[in-house]
Amino acid sequence: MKISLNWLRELVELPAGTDLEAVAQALTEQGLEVEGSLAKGRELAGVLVAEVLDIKPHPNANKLRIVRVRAGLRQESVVCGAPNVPPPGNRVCWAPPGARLPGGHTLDAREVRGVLSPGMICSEIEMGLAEQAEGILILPATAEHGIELAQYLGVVDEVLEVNVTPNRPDALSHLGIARELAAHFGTRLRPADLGTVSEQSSGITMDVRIDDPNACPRYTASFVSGLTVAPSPIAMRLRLQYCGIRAICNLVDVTNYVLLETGHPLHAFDFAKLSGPIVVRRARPGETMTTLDGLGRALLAEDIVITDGTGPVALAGVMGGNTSEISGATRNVLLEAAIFEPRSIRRTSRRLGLISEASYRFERGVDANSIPFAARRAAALLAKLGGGSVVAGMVDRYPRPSLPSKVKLRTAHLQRVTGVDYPATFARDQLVRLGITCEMVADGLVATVPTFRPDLRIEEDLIEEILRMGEYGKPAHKERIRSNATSQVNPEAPADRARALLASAGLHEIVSWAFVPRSALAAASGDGAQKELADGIALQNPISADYEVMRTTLLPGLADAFARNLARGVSDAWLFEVGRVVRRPAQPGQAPVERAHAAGLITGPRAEWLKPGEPVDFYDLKRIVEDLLRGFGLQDAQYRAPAGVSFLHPGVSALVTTGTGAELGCLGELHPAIARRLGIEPRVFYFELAIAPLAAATASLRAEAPPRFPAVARDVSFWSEVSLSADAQRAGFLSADEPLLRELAVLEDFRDPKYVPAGKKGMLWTMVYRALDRTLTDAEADAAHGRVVKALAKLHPIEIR
Amino acid sequence: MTANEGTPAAQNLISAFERLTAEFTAEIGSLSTEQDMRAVQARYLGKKGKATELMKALGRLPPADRPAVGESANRARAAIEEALQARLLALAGADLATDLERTLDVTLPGRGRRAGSLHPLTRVRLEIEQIFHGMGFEVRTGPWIETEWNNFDALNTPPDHPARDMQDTFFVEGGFILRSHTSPVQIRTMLAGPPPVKIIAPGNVFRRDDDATHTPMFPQCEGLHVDRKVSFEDLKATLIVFVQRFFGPDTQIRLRPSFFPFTEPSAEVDASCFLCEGKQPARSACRLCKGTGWLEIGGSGMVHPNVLQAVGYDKYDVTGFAFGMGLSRMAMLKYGVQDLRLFYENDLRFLCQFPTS
Ligand SMILES: [Zn+2]
Repeated sequence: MKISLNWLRELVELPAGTDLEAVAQALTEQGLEVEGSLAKGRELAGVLVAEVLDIKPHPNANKLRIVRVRAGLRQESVVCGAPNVPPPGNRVCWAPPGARLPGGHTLDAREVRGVLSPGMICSEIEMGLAEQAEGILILPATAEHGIELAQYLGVVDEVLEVNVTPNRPDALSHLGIARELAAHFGTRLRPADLGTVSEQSSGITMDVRIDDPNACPRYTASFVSGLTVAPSPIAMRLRLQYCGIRAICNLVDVTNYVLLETGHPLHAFDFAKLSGPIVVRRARPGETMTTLDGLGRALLAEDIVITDGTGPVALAGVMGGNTSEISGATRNVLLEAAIFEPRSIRRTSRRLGLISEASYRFERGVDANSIPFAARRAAALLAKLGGGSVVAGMVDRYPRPSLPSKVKLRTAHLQRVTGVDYPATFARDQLVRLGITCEMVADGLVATVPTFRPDLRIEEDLIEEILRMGEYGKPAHKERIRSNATSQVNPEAPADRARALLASAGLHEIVSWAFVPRSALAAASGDGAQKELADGIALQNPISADYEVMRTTLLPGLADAFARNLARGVSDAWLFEVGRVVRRPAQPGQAPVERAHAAGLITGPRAEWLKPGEPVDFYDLKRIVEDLLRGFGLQDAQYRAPAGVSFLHPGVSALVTTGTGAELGCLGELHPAIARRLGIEPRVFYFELAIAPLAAATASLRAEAPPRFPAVARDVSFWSEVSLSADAQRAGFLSADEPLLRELAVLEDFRDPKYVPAGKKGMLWTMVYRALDRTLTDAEADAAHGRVVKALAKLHPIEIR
Repeated sequence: MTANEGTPAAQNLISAFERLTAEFTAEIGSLSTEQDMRAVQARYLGKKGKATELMKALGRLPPADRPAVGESANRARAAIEEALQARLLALAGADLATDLERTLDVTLPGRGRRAGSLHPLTRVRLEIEQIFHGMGFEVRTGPWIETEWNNFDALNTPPDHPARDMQDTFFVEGGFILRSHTSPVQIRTMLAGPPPVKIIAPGNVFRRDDDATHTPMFPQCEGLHVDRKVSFEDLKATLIVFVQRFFGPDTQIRLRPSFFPFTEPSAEVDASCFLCEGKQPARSACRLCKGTGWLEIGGSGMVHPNVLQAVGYDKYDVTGFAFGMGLSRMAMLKYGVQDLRLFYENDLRFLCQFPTS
């Protein structure tokens, strides 16, 4: 909300020397955060209010005149081309030599068609006060000549941007902000004086009836007659402009001005266009109306309408109707000041997309008891600016009076919540500053909360008010921190462990959106071949098609990050992400299933030293996965082909399970066709594992002392069928149940067709034998090795080399 | 008895043995391996070696001369072995000296793949978790996809409450929403068990906002402490300890009254700017705090009695405080990152600046 500092100064006394920063700090400390301020009117300097003394024709030009002006003790003759120079005795704006105008233009004495002109007489456009104007600006004859125009009009101002939280409807006005400052500085509020308004004892009037008091607890109609529509005075237009509202004409501007001043939305109807009486009710099914913006609106029963004898003339609290709109011909006005049910206003304005200064305040709550003040203030201003008169006798219907509420505060509770032993008298003094009256009782106080503070309903609300002025800023006492023993593990710990392991393996962590385009899931799932990947949980109101569906796999995010890095010239991006995927629940109606996954993607050359490395392949990826699993204490993971995963190469991929068969995830080369659809050309290798089964499979760590007796190594080299996997060979060796065999590992898988018989591969294994209680002899080792090799040969046709 | 006292034949033999040592020493002087030297040694001391040849003459000497000659033979054997050892030692010393002359270019890079990195949002979360862990807060998490009740209603934010405007919510099929803050974790934790509760809830939250300063998904960390006698003063103390551990020991906090439906009283939390330390003239030019001397870090307050009531806690028995902060903001402040979008672009040239610990 935009707040003018000049306006505030009119409404509240401030201690001498209170500047912008002090006001901003006071408001911010009290919870009305000043988010910034704009210095206005600084480009205009030295322009003076001047009296026209006489007007003479210019000797050399028909359209120019020479105007003698007086400003204080100075008198000069200025050349002026405007058609609207007022007769002597009136006031104009004179920019003498040395004055500054917006755009950095400084005036000097200059010859105009042979006559020296000391400066110029200015229009609003030239002074940056309006975007359009006809001729020069004429000021009221009461303006004191010789004073600076900027000072006279309040051009020089500071506009504060105040962030008012939704619980504080009372602060949505200059008066409300002024009230806060009065409480802060302990100074007096001085609302506009209504005492001098003269009323016409009889004249136009119209009856008002409220059909639904819940929808409209109070409605007042004031009447102002004999008005003339004209532009508002420059000072008012300037204020509206500074506060972000466009000036239209005096009758409309007054309602906006009083809205900004008091926070009360007002509506002016052209009295002549109403047939009367006014009835406030809910809209009827099928009812329609045309609002001020010219659009036809279909109404619902939740909408509140103002009607006259013919039908709806305004959508209450939201927008007026076009049939009763103020126009240039308006002479008499019905001024509405009312309150409407916040919930209905909110629903209607949201539904129709009509959010206005009025609806914004109505839906937060407007004080019913300050309606008469706002109505009188506006009526008086209308009469003054429109040259009309206020008709005595405001029509006031108030079927649901709002009453001040009583809230009790127990001193003990105040002390318990704050942790400070405040006495009850302190609480009272703080509340009284805010206009809340207090009655002291044995165990605390009973506060009578004025109706403009609907947010103060319970004890805790009062406690905030008590602390709000100064107590928030008191220093903290660190020694209060008490530690307590933690009994449960951090549920995020397994995911964080995966992050640390993958980062130390050389991968970089990324964070991608939880929602992805539907097309990305279509690609990853092989166009639905893998249903659980394709069928993501959809957002009903996505920002765009890029954020349509909750991800079912981390692949789209990683692929996107990879493609993006590639486009920026980073070609060996090793990336990982640990985050949740969302899958459809087993039963409809249940909450979707969220699972943490770890996924990674590698590509590019292997890390060679001082020369280019070979491209990475499946086994580089597998090492990363193996180390990740080992980091979780998983020693017996199984790798099974084919993986049967839609986004992996069918021949270069595997499923990973625990030793007991629980599925962990998959790894392999990204399917070339799918990679291309995801925007990836190079060969990349990808894994995705679920965190929960990984964490569940983690056994507690057991350690053994190092062996005391030396080991003996033996190798075996043989031809086998290509189809006989390393795992199958290992199982064959292990089927010997040889107690001396401690370790076995593949040293070579040799397939060069120049040396290897067709359909075969050359294998080289190494085994380690050791006894727990003695040093093995060569003969013992040989015998054990023989048994191990024979066990494999018994199961599979192999040919020892 | 000395050699001089023996027969001339004996004396010849003795000097022959002495010459043998000198000859051997000369011969191995040009050799550089132990193997070569042992081969030469064999020609002197072996079965068919020179010493053995000389010893054959021993038998022809008078018995009285034999001991002296035998002794000189033994001396020669010992001397030859000694010369060989001396030579070997000299050679080893020379080898070591040569070995120690090796140098290399230490400015070439190390071998192997470099370690990767942790995302800055992960790093900052881990740091924050650690600080609160030290104050006895446990980490709790909850689902992204939530019920409106957990996200709003239980948090004193009924339908049509204007505060629901403050957060634009994503709706998902099945009548659920994407949580707009991690406060539902507070609700779930309180529903799951009686007080005391002392938790922090880090996690991603979602709001329908996508511009230079907002992302539709962002990580938050909230905290909640409910127990008997938990007060606003405890909240203040917790926050000052946090900011001083996170930003530095001289950091101050400023609480400003504010409004959140789920807390009363409520406060915005500012930390003093660690860059300019709030001191002029640096403050006016400070880009971090924009000249205010303060950095907004989050919201806080005393848990609203309606929230305690919604989870079945006795609002007359216990009180509590809650706070929350955006981790992107904390990471921006901590690492001097100007542009929020950098956290989500996943550009390796940015990410690789955040080592794993
Ligand atoms: Zn700063």
